[in-house]
Amino acid sequence: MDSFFKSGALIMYISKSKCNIKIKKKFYYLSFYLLIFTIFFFILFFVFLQQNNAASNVFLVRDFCNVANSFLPASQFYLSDSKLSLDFPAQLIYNKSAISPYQQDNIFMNLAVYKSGDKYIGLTDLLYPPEKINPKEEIEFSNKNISCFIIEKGVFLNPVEFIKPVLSTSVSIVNVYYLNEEEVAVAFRQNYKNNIIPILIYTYSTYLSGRFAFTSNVYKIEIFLDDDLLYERKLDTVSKKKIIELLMTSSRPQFIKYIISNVTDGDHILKVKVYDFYNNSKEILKKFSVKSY
Amino acid sequence: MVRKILSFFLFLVLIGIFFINIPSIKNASDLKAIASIEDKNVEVIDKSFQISSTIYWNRINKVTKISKNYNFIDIFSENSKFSLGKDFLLSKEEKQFFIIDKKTESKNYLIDGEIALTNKESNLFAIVKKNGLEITFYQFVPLENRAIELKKEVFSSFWTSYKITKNSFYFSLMNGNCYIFNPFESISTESVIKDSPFIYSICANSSSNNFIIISGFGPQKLNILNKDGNITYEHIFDKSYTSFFTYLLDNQILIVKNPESLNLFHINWNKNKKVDLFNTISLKGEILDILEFYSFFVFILSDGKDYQLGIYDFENNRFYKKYWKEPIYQLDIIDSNGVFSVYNQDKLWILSLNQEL
Repeated sequence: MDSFFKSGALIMYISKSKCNIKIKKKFYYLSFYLLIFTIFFFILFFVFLQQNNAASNVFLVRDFCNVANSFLPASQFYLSDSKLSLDFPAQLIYNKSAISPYQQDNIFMNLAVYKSGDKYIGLTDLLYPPEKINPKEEIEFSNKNISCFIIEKGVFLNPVEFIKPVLSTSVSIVNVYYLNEEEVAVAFRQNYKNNIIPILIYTYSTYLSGRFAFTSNVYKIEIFLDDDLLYERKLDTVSKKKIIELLMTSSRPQFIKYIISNVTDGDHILKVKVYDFYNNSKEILKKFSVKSY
Repeated sequence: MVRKILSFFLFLVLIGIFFINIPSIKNASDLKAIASIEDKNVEVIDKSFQISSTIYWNRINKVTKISKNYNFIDIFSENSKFSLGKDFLLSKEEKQFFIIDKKTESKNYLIDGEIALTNKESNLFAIVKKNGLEITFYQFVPLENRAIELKKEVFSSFWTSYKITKNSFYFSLMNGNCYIFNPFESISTESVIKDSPFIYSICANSSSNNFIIISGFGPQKLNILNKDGNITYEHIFDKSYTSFFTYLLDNQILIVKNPESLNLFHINWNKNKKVDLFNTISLKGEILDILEFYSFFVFILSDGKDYQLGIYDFENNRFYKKYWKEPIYQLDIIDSNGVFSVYNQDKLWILSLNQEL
């Protein structure tokens, strides 16, 4: 009997140890697979990073949101007869008028916000904000100066494509500066990677009547390096995360900051061209030399 | 037959209950002013009344201090617009903001900006730049006679409504985000409210870190959110409106004013059913200002033509309103026992809830 029990205990011990081996094996397999997955994801992550770096040859260094400079996500329009015809259907979703002279805590005293598809169109000083606006329908304003903004997916868009009052505008570039305000070659010192030249584009735009400054008519910017179009951008988005265009108040100039990268040694010509939304354009040329150290 | 009689009787009882519970709306014709002040001419109606604390009468381009025995002192600057805080005044002169200590009347330059956001009950305030997105937050320190800059922020969108409590700032943004900043607990978040691309109104009080928003359309929703900006409760409205005014009283009663009615909700932060509508009063117009006492709240209602003073009495669940002949815009507590002032730029009235109601 004793030997039977002993043998029984032995069998149990063997089956236990077999079980342990199986668990250990499973554990090793699991660890191996985990390691493989981790390595795979690390590789993916680095490939993704590299792709991002490779894709962006023009990007923002830092925004200009400081005390001296500012941007206006809402544009001011001048209407010659206080009326406007819109091309899109829209539904009134928000309407707030100032009754009390003490209500000085909103940017717009009288604001109506319309929904048109995914877009929200804010208009100020509507005389009687209609519940619905049908295309080509004329809406009347109590003021000849109105403000307008468009938000789509949380981002402000330039409203000129949607609302085109009869305006004559002009656009010009005042100057293009290299940001370090020294020789361009400084940009190629060790602290800069990938041969980059930061530039500051200083543009100026006004509404020609001279009475009303119009801030949004620098509509498109093109940057050429040796006649090759390096960058083209419509100034259509102003978001918190990616403030590339800073629309200045009234007739103050606009600053736009870019970095150009991967420039070869030798003489180059940088051309910056700006357009207003009627396709009037101005350009400026800058000669510079690049020398690797 | 008996069933029919019983059901008819039950129907009558239900109608009776309905009429008993219907809010009583009547003119508060017996609510009279204790005193009225026009410029510096005082008409005292109740001579037994004494001003217990200094009244700061904001007349937009100046502030008139009215103290005991109706003594007047004007705080005035050229081309200025004034805003009131708890222990301070802000004056905007051209584009410069100056901060003035209420007690010492010393004046210091603060910052260039466009709009001042203040609350008469709080020493927190904010100054907004012309673009409407760049905001600097401040705290006024009365003993040091200065404002401390707490933070600068760039919002992702314009705001529709804001609330400054004794300890926090709350903003509802048009792009469906909420911004919350509590400098005392280092809470600062901009939360995206899912499925609500537009926020109409935001409100909070000083006794809770939770807050309430009204957002979306078709349907519009009332949401309770915690300090991290997470929705903890949702109440769907059966009708959509283009504007809302919301106010959360310290006794956790929520006032929701849409263009057509005034709705009163009990808020239970911790229970499953957190929002409980207990009264709806058909009332057109906008609330211009509101103040709360222990068992009352008082507000000014206007459609731009008529001006009314509304009083809601919680203890008796009654609503009173009184038409005012002249425009009235602002309310201020003079005494927590129920004495308050009602004013426009030219005239101020002192009223007491205790004596007349």
